[in-house]
Amino acid sequence: MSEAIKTAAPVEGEPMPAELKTAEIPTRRGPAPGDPEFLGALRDCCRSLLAEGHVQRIIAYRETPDSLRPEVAFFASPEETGDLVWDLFCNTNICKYLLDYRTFEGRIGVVVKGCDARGVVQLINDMQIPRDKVEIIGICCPGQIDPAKVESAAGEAWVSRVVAGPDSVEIVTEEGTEMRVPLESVLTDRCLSCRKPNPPVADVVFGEDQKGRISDEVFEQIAELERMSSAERDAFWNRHFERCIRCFACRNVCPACSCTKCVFDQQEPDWLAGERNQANQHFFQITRAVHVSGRCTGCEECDRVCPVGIPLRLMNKKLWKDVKDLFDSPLPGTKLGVRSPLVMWDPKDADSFE
Amino acid sequence: MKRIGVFVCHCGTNIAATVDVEKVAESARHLPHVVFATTYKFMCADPGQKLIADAIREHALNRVVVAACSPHMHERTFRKAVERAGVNPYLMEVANVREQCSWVHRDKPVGTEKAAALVAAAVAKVARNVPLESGKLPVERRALVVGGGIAGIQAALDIAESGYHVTIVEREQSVGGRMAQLDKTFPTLDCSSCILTPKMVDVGHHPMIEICSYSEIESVEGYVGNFEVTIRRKATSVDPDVCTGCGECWNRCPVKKLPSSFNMDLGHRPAIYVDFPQAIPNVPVIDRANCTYYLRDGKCRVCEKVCPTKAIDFTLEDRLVKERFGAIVMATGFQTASLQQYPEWGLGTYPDVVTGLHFERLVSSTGPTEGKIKRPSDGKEPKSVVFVLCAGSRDEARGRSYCSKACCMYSAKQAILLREKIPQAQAHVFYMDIRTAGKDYEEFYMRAKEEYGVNYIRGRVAKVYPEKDHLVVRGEDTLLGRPVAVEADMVVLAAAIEPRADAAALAQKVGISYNRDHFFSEAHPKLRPVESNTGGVFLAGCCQGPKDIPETVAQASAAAAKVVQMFSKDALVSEAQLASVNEAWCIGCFLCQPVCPYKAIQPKEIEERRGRDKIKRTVSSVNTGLCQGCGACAVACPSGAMRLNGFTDEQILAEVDAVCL
Repeated sequence: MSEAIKTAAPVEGEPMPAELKTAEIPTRRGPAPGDPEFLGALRDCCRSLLAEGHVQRIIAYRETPDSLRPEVAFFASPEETGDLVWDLFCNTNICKYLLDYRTFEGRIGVVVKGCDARGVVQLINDMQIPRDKVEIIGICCPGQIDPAKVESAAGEAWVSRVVAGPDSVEIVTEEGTEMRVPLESVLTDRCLSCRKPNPPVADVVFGEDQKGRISDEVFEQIAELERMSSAERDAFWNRHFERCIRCFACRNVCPACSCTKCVFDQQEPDWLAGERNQANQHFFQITRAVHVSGRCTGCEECDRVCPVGIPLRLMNKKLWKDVKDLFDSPLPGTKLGVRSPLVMWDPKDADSFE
Repeated sequence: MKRIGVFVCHCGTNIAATVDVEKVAESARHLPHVVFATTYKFMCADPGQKLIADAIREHALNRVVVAACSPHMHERTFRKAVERAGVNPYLMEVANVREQCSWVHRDKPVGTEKAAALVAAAVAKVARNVPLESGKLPVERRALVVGGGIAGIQAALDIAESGYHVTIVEREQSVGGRMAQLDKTFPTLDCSSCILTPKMVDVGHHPMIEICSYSEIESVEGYVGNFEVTIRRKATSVDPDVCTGCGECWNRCPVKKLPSSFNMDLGHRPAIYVDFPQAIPNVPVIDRANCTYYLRDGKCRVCEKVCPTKAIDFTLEDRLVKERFGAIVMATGFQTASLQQYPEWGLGTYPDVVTGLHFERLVSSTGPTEGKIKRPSDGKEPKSVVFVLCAGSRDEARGRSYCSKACCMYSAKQAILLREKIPQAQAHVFYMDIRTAGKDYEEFYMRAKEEYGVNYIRGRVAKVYPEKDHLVVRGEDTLLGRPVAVEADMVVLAAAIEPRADAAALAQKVGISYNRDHFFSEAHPKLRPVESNTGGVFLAGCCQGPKDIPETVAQASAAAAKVVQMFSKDALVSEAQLASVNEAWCIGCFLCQPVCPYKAIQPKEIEERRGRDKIKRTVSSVNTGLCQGCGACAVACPSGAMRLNGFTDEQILAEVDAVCL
């Protein structure tokens, strides 16, 4: 293991989140993404975790022929970590893969950004995986790049690779032409309004704390929706919901969706009928959003994967805003041992119905 | 094959006047699975029940819908009726066409249509009902009585006399409670102590009663018939097995001037004390917060030196005792309101403004003034006393909307006592209404007015303020419609009866519900007035609502009867409509656990096949002894794995579909 990095001992004791204390972020850190030593140090870290038996599996990313789209990979041995990669195209939130390891007899390392780490914490809080079973390898995320934005910036040309700097990126096409565009112009939408790019809980951290980007764009859009008449709002969502093909990608990637039998897959009662009418489209969308509200970590992975571009973030963020205003609870996934106020009962709860 | 029978009740004219019952029966005949439908004048009466039983046999019915009053009223009746006829009681549904229909509609066609819809919903549901079986629970035949006032004493004596062991947990040094503080009782004016102390002696000596005084409830686990209660026995510093209660210690204790809470802080007690001379148990306790030994590193020790039996043990510590009980009687009583929201009356500001309980101590021969009425400020005999009724009661705006019930009568009594003890003193009573519902109560009040010349003034008191050496009470006489000012040497506020300050916290520990004023809630205001909503927990006395002594005693005996009824059975029948877990769907998130008011949900490890592998995982499981079938867990469950039997999603949705589609 590299000298610069040290893993914290796994938290001993009960898997009950209420019993867990927030693990402190270790003071000793690895180099930041962008540092020439970063990738080597990350690979070293993962290699030694596997080699020394601290973990039996690592979930991270691996290069693919498409340099804009690395893939999620599962590393079982130290030798495999040679093609582990982490760059600004690691858009996929990998925390959900932890669910496949619910009954895995061993510890799992996960390489996570701030948003992914919240998903990990939420899974721990939802008791889907015990804290001591996960080695959280956190990365203070400078923001992720949207490959589609890069490709549209490059126009007709095929993009061969992208070199990211702190403020701008250099796009190199297959023909060898180079162009420089501002970083913000190619960042993903969610990164443009990301307030929490650092892992709230981690065993190892790479990079120094990032400030994040405090854009209020989402909340401005929500305010705009709130100002609409109910008929206008209905029309707005109708326009979006009628495109939904019910591929369930939003559900499948969501770290708050951990049911073994999803309500939408249940037959008796068959809550969601197959027919594509307005009622069913609304029922699906609203039920999904409400079901995860109070547990949605705001990673916006659902929004990113939606093949028909429904602005799910608006619904999720609106519900989060309401939950926060009512119960003054922290953003889900930012604290260990916190359960959603919507499923907890406390005599001191706000009772705005009286 | 489902064969459903529908029985529509007229309920005299209660239902039939607003609902065309024949039409409802006719529409039911066309519903799926319905093979028989009829109406009858009183379905709950014996001929009505017989009609159901006969129809079950004649038409081979295996499911029944009764369209009648609220299931709260007669669900049990009809369940038993179908069970006697060989149908599982949970294959009977009640369609509430009275409270939810005939009583809220005037228009007959509308009422009829709605009744038909409600019947259709019940038919849809009962078609999806499955037979449920009740289990059997063993009973621990020992009762716990929380609170050693007259309610607790009466309940304990009645249970013990029936042959069952009782433990009384009392917070104070002695049992006796509020009644021990009272002087005389209305309407007979017999002395409170004289009728209470023999009962206290009875509980003290009863072989089946154990008194844990100076103790509190730490926690309650378990369920009806099988509670596990941890009792904190506070350190008394006196060995009860050795102490003879001779009184040497409390007579010789050098710390004499501590406020006596038994005397409402009007008198004093030493640091080692019994609450009052007739205390049961007659074993003193040391008030460690004020005892020199504890305050000054082991100095003093006078009590230890003078004790002839060497009963003093300064090293005693709080003990947590775990005991099993089958039933719990809550008899935690009341306190009087502090009236902080009423600064205009000056309670706490002017020493001569007191509450009714203070006045009791001032009239009592065991009180600080040995029964001579003296006002607290200078010990002078009052020549004019103003009694203020509804002090803090019946005032929605300042927090309490309820009537404290006993104040009209005890204030009349106090006015009579004043006039008897100081014949030249004037008694004025400010009142809103006089409520004297009770045997011989009105007569007693009339005596106060006519025989004792108590001056009743209808109106609220606006202000009490001092003038020279007396107080002035300003208010309005609403009968005369003019302001009045009465000079008073003392003002006695009939302060509202409220539950003990920690009643809500205790209710949460025990797992019973309480209302917005923190009075414990009875299971039904009329038909189950001494049962709480939690099986095996019963209520007695003012913790359930304001009441006077006869009512308290009656309720305590009723609670005792309920306990004895429970204990007389070989085993308890457990509720059948309980929560159950679909283990295949449960993801083990345990969101159900914290919402369960009965602590009925525990983790359970199960083995599952996953492909070729066998895996182990943790899921929720429901303890059927603890579960009361409230359904909170089913609501909290994010994956729909938790279901409430008898109210499953399929059944409820079928009802909704039947009404809406």
